[in-house]
Amino acid sequence: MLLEVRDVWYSYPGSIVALKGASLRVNKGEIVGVIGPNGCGKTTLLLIAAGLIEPKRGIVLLEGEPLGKQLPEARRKIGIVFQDPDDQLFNSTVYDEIAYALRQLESNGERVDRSVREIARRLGVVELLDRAPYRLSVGEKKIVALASILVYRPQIVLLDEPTSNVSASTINIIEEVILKLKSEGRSVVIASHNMEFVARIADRIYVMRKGKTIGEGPAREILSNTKLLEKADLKPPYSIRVAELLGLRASSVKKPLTLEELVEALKPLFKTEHHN
Amino acid sequence: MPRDKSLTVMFLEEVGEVVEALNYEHKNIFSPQITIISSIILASAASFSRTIFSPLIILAVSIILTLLLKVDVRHWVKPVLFALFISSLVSIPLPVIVQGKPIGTIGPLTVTYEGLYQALQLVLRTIAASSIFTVLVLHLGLRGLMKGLRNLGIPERLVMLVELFVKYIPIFLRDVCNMIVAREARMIVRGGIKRTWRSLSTIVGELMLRASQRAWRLEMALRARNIGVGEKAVRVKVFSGTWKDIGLMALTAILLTASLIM
Repeated sequence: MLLEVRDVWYSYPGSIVALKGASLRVNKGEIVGVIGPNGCGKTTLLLIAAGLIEPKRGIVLLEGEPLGKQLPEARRKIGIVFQDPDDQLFNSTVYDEIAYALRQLESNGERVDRSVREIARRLGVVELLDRAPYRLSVGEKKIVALASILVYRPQIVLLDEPTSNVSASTINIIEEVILKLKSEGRSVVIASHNMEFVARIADRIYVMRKGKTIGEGPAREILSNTKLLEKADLKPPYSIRVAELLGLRASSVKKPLTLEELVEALKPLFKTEHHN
Repeated sequence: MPRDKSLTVMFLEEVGEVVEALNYEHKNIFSPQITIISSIILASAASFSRTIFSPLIILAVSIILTLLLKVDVRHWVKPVLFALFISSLVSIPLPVIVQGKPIGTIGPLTVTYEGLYQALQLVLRTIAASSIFTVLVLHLGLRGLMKGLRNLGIPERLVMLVELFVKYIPIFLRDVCNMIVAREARMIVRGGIKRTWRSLSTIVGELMLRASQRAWRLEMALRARNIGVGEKAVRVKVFSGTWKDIGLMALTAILLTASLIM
């Protein structure tokens, strides 16, 4: 187990209880989704997992050891991308933003430059390197924030609402990056209420409601569990809802999680209709 | 017909735009550290001069520099006009409260030559100082400014503080503008300036909360990426020694001497 957040509790000043016994386990090379309605504690859970805030109760373990004891060195292993990139980007140029963390480790300017340009090329932001981050679009800012984390190659990447307020093309880039990270054996945790996005890429999913983890399991199992999702004020992905409306449940073994699976599930119907 | 922006929103947007201009890419002709030193010396020379001549010369030099360094005149002129407005406002009573040779009367008040001279001097000193400082800082840009401060050996933490302060001013002002517009949009009854201000005053509390929230998140963002021992220290290097730098230093020395003599 790479990262484990065990039964954590957290309350913000003013007695606002954000977490009341939430848990999260992340294995190597796994994409974990954390879903739940607004205000259910997803962001707080990620902040605790990144070691940025300390839980009032419960424990966070990184590679079996308490995270608190490994800080600040452990920050090299855990990267976090905030929901609002304006909170994260504070340098005067995109280049400096991406180079920020590397410059703390590396005094060789050439190596820093090579790494910055390499990640910028990979994420398609080379032409933005000399621009001021806060003059970019939200989508561009999200990509730059992601680049500023990926440049130092953390083992675990925590993404808070990576698809909010961004265009479809940016979502595609983010999706590709996440899948690439997985193929490299790195782990990704995505807090989101974009069910389609989570359905496409997550291996395992945690469902949260009012600061608690109320469900956990393989993505297909969780996203097909309409009762559990309803309990968390969530709805299954569109593909499952369409399949259910069409009464495909009986005809297919598994519920279609993605558009592609829905098309596959629909194909026999069309064939029958065509033959008739 | 679309509603015009309020004066407050327009003013805040203008301030934000000027600060934001610092973030544009600038090609520095002079070394950043020498530019910083020169801007401080020249602004001080203008501020503490005893006559009107040296502020006039510094003002003229700053206008020439604005053109030579291709600084956007709109960004330069706004702070200067603001300084002119404030200093004029402050100096209004001077001609009638400073005792000296009378040159005329306004009702029961006597205007003196010395008072008028002091008012003019105050206005000139203010606009000359703001003008020369603005042109040099705008030429440097935020990146140049930070580089200059680092090269001068200012501790990294302090440089970072300055950078964040400058960077967050436009974001903060945009927040204020959005809040004002949101409140104005809900003022559906014409109620005069008192009612308007009462409504707008609620911004202060929200602004403080937002600022504290943003500061908290920014602090976390900084901690999240503090993965080493801190940025490698740069070698203190004040003089780069190009002819252009020597020229700027000579100009600074001449203007400073002139201010001290006059």
